[in-house]
Amino acid sequence: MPSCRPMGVVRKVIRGTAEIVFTIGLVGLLLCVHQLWWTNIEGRAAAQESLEELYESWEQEPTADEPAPEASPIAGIPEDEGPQDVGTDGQKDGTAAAPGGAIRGEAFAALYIPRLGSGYKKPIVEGTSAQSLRKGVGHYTYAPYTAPGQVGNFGIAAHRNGNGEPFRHLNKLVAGDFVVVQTKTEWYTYQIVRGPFITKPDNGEVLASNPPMLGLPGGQRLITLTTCDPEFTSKNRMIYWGTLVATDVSRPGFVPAALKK
Amino acid sequence: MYAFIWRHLPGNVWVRIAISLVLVLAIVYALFNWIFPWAEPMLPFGDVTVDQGNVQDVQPSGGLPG
Repeated sequence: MPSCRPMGVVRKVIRGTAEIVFTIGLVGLLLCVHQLWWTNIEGRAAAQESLEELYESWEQEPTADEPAPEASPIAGIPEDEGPQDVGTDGQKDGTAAAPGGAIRGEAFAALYIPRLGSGYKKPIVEGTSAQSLRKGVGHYTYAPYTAPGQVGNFGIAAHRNGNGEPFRHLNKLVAGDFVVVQTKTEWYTYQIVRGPFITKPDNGEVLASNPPMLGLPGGQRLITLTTCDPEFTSKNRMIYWGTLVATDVSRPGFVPAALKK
Repeated sequence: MYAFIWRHLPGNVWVRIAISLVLVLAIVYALFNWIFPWAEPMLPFGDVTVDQGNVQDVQPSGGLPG
């Protein structure tokens, strides 16, 4: 654009500043678009993909009573360098969380929450790295390691906003609702006993084998669901607990009672 | 800044518009693919996990998955 007269220095500075501020605003808007829209498209696609892979892997191997034990720890090749593939336990994706356990960063179970929709189905990925949480629901791998259905606390976490937001409407859950976890060999039906419980992010007690705030006798088979609260922030955490009410052996065509309409 | 870029683009108006569009798309692609995912963990609204490092858990482990 040919300028009619040379711009003064003041005018140049004002104009340059305005353009920079405008650009920062644009990038900020784009960030919102990315967080609230694009990561959901990517996250839902990634969740769908890992679910399909999971079901395929279950079909391929012959269903035995117990899955073949896997060597641990397995040195993996992480997709990315940096903190993206490191979980809250400081462990990298690609390593086994427990002997015979799943590999961090890989889906090993499926989660069903009928209250969040009859078709609600998300992969549960081992570990809680940023990458794992982009694929679906992450499984805490702190000691004592607890697999679905075991005595102890099976803790899972998922995004409430963005990245597929599996727990967007977690706050709709009420006591008595069913949460079903499907593994290769079993269906575990949990029933919500308490929640929503809002707490600070550093309150790890909620994931203890027997969280004191529940006041339950020991030896429980618990599930803990965690996400952020209020929505769009990381200020607090929203917690739900459930106890195991049914275990069913997986067989063709079988659907647990909690998932039947 | 924008005027400076515009002045330094080659070609006539239409070529410049085309190049500008490609530039904008390339920048958005870079932001969405690398810069935003990199920045995401540092933003204060994506954390959904609780720290369990400070828990003294005395209950015995449930064993191995089966």
